Amino acid sequence: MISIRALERRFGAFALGPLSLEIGRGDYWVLLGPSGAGKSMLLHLLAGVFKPDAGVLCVDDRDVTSTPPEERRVGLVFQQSALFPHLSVTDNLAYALTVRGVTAAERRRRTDEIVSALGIGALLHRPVATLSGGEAQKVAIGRALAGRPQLLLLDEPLGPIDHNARLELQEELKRVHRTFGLTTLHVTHSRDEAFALGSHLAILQNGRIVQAGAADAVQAAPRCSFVALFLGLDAAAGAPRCQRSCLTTPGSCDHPAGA
Amino acid sequence: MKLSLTKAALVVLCLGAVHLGLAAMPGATLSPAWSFVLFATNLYVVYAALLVKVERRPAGLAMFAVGYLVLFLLLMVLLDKKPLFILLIILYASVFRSPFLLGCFAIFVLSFVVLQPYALETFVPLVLIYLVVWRVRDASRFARLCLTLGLVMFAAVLLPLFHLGIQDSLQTLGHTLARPDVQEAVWLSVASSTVATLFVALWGIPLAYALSRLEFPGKRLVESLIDVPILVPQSVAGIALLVLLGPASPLGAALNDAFGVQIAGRFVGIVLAQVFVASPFLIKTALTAFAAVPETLEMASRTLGASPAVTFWRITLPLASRGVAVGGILAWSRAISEFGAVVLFASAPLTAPVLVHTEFLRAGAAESRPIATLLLIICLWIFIVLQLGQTLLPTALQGAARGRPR
Repeated sequence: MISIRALERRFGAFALGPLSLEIGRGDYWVLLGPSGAGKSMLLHLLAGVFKPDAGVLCVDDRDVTSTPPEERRVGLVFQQSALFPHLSVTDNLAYALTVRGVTAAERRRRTDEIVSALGIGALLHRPVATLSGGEAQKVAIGRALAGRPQLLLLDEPLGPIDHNARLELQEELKRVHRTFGLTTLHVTHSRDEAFALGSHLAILQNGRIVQAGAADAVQAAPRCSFVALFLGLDAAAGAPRCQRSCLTTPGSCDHPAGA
Repeated sequence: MKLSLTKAALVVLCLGAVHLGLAAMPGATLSPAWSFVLFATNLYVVYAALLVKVERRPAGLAMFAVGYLVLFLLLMVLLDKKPLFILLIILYASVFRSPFLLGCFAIFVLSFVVLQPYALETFVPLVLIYLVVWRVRDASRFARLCLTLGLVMFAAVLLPLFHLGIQDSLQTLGHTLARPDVQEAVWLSVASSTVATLFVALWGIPLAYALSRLEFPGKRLVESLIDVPILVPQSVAGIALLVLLGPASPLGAALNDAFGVQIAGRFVGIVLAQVFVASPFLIKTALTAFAAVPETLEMASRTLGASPAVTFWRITLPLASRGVAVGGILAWSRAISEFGAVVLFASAPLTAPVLVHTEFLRAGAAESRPIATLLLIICLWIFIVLQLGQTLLPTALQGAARGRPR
C-alpha cells in the first residue's frame, strides 16, 4: 500500500501538486497526461531522486518521504533504457545485487531467474550498445526486477520503441505484472497503452490529478470533458462540460483535484 | 596510340637537329656526350608528352610543359646539376599521368632540391599531409583547402621540433643520456610531474565532479578562476610562490623552524610550482568528461540500491575515466614542461628544462642541444604511450561501433 498525501514540489515556474493518491498492493496504475503534465516528475519523487517540498509519502504505513532512493526498494525504468554502457548485459542485470553485496552464487541464481522470466538469454553476451530499443528496455526491466523492488516505476517505457516491438513489450509487461504481482506505476501519454495495461488510471494535467480510480470506473464516468477527450471517449456521454480554461489551468473548472 | 613511322622519324630528326645545333653552337657548354644523353632523355619526354596529349585532359600538355620548364630552370640553369636533372626529368615524365605520384614527386623535388638542408624534416610531414588530403579527395574543395592549409601551417609550427629531433646522432644522444647530471634531471622531472599530477587528481577530480553536478551562486566565478594559472605568466607564478613560501617569508620561515622543512629549492617546491601550472588542465578536462555522463545513469544506479559514493565509483568515474585520463595526461605534460615557475621558486635540484637552460647559459646552444633533444624524445614517448593507453578506457558516449566485444 502506497499513499501519497498532499505531495508538492516546485521546479522553477512549474508546480507539481499538491497530489494525493492511494495505491493498493499489486495494482497496475497508469499515469496518463499530456506532455509537461508532471508525470515523470511524480515518478522521480516516488523514486526519491528529488525530495518533495511538502507532503508525505508512505509505503506500508512507513514514512519514506526523506528516504534516499537506494533505501526505498523501488525499480525505476526510464524512457531511454539507461543501461550502463560500460557493463555487460549480465553485469547490468546483477547491478542491484552487486551493490548490495549479494554473494556470487545467489547473484547468479537470481539473475538466471530474471533471464528466464523475461526470455532474454540470447542477449546476455551482446554488448549493451548493440541492443535494439526493445531489447535494451527488456534488460532495463530485468535490471529493475533483480533488486526485488516493492514498487515498479515505468517512465514511458515504450516511448522510443517501434510499433511491433512495443506491442510485444506491452505483453511482456502484462506477463511480468502477473508473474511477480508487483505494484506498478506506469507513466505514458498513450491511451492505448493505458487501456491495455492499467487496472487503475490517473489523469494528470499541469501538475494536478484531474481524476483517478479503477480503469473501468474512469472510463464509465469521466469527471469532465477534458478527461473524456483525453481518453478518446465520447465527450457528450454525460461528462460535465468543463470550461475551456480547464485545458490550461486544472481546477479552474469546479471538479476537485485529487481522487 | 597510332603513330605513323614517318611522323616518328620526323620527331626524332627534329629533336636530334636541335640538340646537334646546341652542341655545335660556338661557345657551347655541353659536351657531345652530354648532348646525346639529353637527346635520348628528351626523346622519352616527347613520348610521354604524346601519351599526355592522347588523354586530352584540359591543359594537360601545357601543364606538362610548365613542369618541364620549372625543372629545367631549377636544375640546369640555377643549380647546373645535369645528372640529377636527367634522373628527375625521366621520373617526372613517368609519373606525370598519375596525379597521386605526381604530387609525391613535386613534394620530393621541393624538399630534396629546393629546401635541401631541411630535406627530411620537410619531406616526411609534407608527404604525410599529402596522403591525408589524398584520402579525403571526395570531400568538398573548400574543406580540403582548409585541411591542407591548416596542416601545412601546423607542420611549419612544429618544424623546429622536427629539426631539433634529427640534429644529433644516436651516439651523441647516448653519451648525453649516460651523463649522471642528465639522468638525475630527467628522473627528477618525471618523478616531480607525476607526483604533481597525482596530487592535483586527488582534489581536482572531486572538484570537477561537484562542479559538473551542482548549481550554486558563484559557480561561474569558480569555473573562471580555475583557468587563472594558464593566464598568469610563469615568472609571475614563480615570484608569487616565492613571496608566500620562500625562506624570507613568514610562512616559509615558520615551516622551516617548526619542521626543518624548507620548501623553496626542494623536491616539494618543484612539485608545488608544477601543481600550480598544471591544475587547470586536469580540472577543466575532467569537468567536461563528468558533464557528459548522463545523470539518468546515476539515478538508475541510486534506485538500484547504490549510495551516491558507490554510484560515483561504479558508474560515473568509469564512464568519465577517459576524459579524466586525458586531463591527467595534459596536466602531466604541462607539469614536466614547466620552466619559469620552477626556475624561480625551486632552481635546485635541477629539473630537465632547468638543466637545458643552465647548460645553454654555460656553454651555448650547441652544448645544450642534445639534452633538449633527449628531453623532447622522452616527453613525446611518454605522451604517446599515455595517449594510446587512454583510448582503452570507456566513455559515456559509446556508440554501437564502440561496443566492447566480449
